[in-house]
Amino acid sequence: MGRRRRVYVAVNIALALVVLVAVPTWPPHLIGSANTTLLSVASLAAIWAIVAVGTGMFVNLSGLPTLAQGGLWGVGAYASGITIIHLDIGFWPSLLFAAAIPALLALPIALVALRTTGVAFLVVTIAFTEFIVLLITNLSITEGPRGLQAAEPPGSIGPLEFESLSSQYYLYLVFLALAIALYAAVARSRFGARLRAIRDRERLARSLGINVLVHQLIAFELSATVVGVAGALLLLQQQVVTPELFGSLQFIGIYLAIVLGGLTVLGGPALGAWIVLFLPLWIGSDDPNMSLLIYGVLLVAAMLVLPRGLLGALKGWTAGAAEPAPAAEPGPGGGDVALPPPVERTAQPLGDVLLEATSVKRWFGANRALDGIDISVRTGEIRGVIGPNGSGKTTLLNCVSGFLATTDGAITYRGEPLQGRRPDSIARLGLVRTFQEPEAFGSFTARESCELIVASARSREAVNEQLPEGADAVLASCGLSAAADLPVTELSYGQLRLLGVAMALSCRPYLLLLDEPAAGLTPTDAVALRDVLLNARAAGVTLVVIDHDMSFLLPICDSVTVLDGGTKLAEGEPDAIARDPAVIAAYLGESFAKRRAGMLAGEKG
Amino acid sequence: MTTFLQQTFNGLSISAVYILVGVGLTLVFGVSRIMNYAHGQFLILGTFVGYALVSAGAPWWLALLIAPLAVGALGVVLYRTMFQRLASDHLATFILTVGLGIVIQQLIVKIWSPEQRQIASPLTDSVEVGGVIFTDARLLMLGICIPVVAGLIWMLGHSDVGRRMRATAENPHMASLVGVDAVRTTSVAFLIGSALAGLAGVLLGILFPFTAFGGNAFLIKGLAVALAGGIGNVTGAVVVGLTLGLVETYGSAYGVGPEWQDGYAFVLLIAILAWRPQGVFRGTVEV
Repeated sequence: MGRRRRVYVAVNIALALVVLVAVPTWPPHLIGSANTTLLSVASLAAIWAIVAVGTGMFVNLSGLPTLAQGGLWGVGAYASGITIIHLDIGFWPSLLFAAAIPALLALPIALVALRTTGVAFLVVTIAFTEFIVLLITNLSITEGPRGLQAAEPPGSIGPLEFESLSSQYYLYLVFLALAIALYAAVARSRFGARLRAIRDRERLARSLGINVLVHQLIAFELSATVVGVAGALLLLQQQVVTPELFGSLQFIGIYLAIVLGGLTVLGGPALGAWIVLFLPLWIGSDDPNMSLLIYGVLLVAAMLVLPRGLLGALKGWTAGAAEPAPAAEPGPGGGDVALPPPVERTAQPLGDVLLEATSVKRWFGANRALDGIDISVRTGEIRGVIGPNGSGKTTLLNCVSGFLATTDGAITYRGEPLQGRRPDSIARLGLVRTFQEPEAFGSFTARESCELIVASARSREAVNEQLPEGADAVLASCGLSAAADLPVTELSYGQLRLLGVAMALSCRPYLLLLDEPAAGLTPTDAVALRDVLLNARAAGVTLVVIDHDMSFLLPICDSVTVLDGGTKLAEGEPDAIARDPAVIAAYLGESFAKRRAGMLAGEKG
Repeated sequence: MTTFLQQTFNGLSISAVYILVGVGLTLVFGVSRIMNYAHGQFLILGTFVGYALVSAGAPWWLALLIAPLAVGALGVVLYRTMFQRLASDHLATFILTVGLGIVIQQLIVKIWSPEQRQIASPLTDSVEVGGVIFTDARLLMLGICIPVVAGLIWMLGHSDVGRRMRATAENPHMASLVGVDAVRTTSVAFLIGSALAGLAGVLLGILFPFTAFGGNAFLIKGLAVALAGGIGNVTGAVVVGLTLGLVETYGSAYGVGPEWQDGYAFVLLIAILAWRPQGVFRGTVEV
C-alpha cells in the first residue's frame, strides 16, 4: 500500500467514525420519513453491516456465494430469544447460544454444500436456508409465523448501561468494529492467504498440500458465528423476529449491501449496508413496494455499472493514481531470467525404491487409460516418462498424486500404500506434482506464492532438509529473483512454468512429478529449467518427468519408461530406449532415429 | 385405492408444473451457464399476461399461446441486453437476476394488482372414472406438458437447432469454431426456457388463484429439480420433477402435515447432492 493511499484510507476511516458516532445527535429532519426514527434505522444498518461483513468475508475469501448465512442469521436470533425466554437468562449469556448454535448447525450444512461448487453451492445453500425458515415457521418453540418476542435489554457492564436506544446503538457499532477487525485479521493471516489461493486455483492448492475442506469449513464457521451474533442483536433491536425475515431471497438485501460497498474491500459491505437502508428514506418513500422497486433497480444497476462496488471503484482510482505500474518489463524470451550456474550431470549411486506402482489400472468406461502398469523409481533417480498422446502418462501421474482413484493395482511411496489418500495429504508426505498447463494463484505475486507454500510446509514432518528454505532462496534457485514481486498475471509463459516448479520446490519435496515442464519453453528457458531440475536432484530430490521434448529429456534422465496405449512398452537407459525399434515404431519415429544416429556419428567424428 | 389414484393424478399435474419450470432452468443454464433467478417471476408474468388477455375477452387457448411467447421474448431481450455480459459469474448473475425478478414483481403489482386473481376459463368440468375425478384444468395441464416436453426432448436429440444447443452446451468455443452462432443458439435456449415458464404460469392461473408474490416458491422448487436432476440434463429434470410432485402430494396425504409440504424439495435436493454432488444424472444438455 502506498503512503498516499494509507493516508486516504485513514482519513476515510476517521470520517466514517465521526459520522457514525454522531448519529444520535443528528437532527431528525435529515431523513424524509416521520414514521421511523433516525436512530432505529442507523441501528438496523449497523446490524445489517455485521451480517454483510460476516457473509462478505466468506464470499470474498472462498469465492463461494452463500445464502445459508440468511438462515443462520435467523438461527442466531431465535437461539438468543428462546434461551432468554426458556432458560430465563439475560442478553449476555444468550449471546453465547446465538454464536454457538449457528456454528454447530453450520457444520453439516458446510459438509454437504462444500462438496459442490459454483451454482450448485449457491442453490444448495438456498435449500438449507429455506428449510431452516420452514422449521422456524412450523415448530412450536419458535412461536410460528407470528414471530418470537423478547424485549430484554442487556444488563449493564460495570459503569456501562444499555437501557437507552443510543447506548444500544453504540453496542452495535462495537460489534461491527469487532466483525471488521476479525475480517481484517483473517484476510491478512496466512490462513486467509491459503483460502485465497484455494479460491484462485483449487487443484494447484491441493497439489501443494493445502487441505481445501478444512480451510473452507473454518471460514464458513467463522462467518456463521458472526451472523449468529448479529441475529441476537437484531432481536434486541427489533424486539420481535419473524421467520420470513431470514428467507433466502430476502437475503438479497445483504448482498445488495455487499456489492454496493464492494465485496473485495474491507469496509465495503459495511458502507453498503448504510446505503441500502438509508437510500429509500432519503428518496422519501414510505411505500414498501416503492422501496422494493428501488432495491431491484439498484441490484441491476450495481451489477451492470459498478460490478466492483463503490469502494472497489474508488480503490481502483486511488490505487491507479498513487501507485505507478511496476517498471520491470519481462524481457523477450525470458532473457531476464538470471541463470544459476549449471550443474554437471554426475553418475550418482541410486538408493532404495522410493515409489512403486504395481499393475496399476485406470479405466474410464471402456477406455483403458492405464491397463496394468508397473513402475519402480529409486531415490536419487531422474526418470523420464514418454509415449504418444493418450498413452496414459498424465493419467499415471494423476493416479500417483491422488487426483484420480485407481481402478485396480497398488501404489506405494516409501513402502506405504497411497490408496485412499487425498492429493493434499500425499503432497504433505513430500510427493509433489506440477500440471501440464502452467497454473498459478492469480491474486498473488511470485514471491507471495512461494512464501505461502514455504510457510505451510514448515509445519510438515516430511520435508527434504537439503533443499533451500525460504521463498527468496527458492526463487533464486529457479532464476526468478528479478520477477519475484510481479503479479503472476504479468509473468511470461516461461516464468510461469518455472514458478510452477518453484512452488513445488517450496514444499521441499522428496519426489517431484513434472508433467511436460518444458512444453512451449524457449531454448533459454528450457536450459534454465534443466538446471533447476539437476540442482534439485543434487539436493536429493527424486524426479519423474513427462515430456515430449527428447532433446530436453533424454540428456538428464537416468532411465526412461515408455508408455503406449495404457501399457508399458519399454524401460531402460535413455540411449537404449532411443535405439529400441519398438519405441521408434510407436513413438519416436524413423526420422528421429536417423537424426539421432547422425548426431551420434557427429559426436564420434 | 381410489384415494391413492386420485392423489396420483393430482400429484402428476403438480409434477407437470415443476417439470416445465425445472426443464426451462436446466436448458438455459446448460447452454448459457447462466442461472436465471428471475425465472419464478417469469412464470408469474406469464400468469398475469394470460389473465390480462382473457380479461380483455381473448379465448383461453389464445392466452396459452401468446403468454409463453411474450415471456420467451422477454427472456431473449434480457439475455441480449444484460445476462450476456455476466455469463459464468455466479454471484453477479444471482444479484442481477434476483434484482430483475423484484422489478418484474413490483411492476406486476403496479400494473395489475397485489390482490388475488384467477383466470376465468370454461374448463371447470370434470370427468369421473371409477371414482377418480379428473378435472378439466388438470387434464389440460398434463395434456399440454407431456407433448411439449416430449417435443423438446425430440428436438434436442434430432433437430439441427437441438444439435447446436447441445454443441454449445458441451463446449461453446469449439461449437463456434465449427460454425455454431453461440449467441443465437443461446437466445433460442432463452426463448424456449422462458416460454416454458410462461406456459407453466398460464396453466397454473387456470387451475389455481394466484397473486404477484407466488413466483419465488416455484423458482426454488425449479432450482431443486434442475440441480438434483443434474444441471443441464433435461431428462434428469423430468425425472426429479415427476418425483417431487408425487412425493409432495403423497406426503401431504399420508405423511406429516401439509404445513411441511414445501420441505420435500429442500430435503430431496440436499439428500441428492450429499449423495451425488453433480446430481442424479450427468450434466450438460442431455436428453
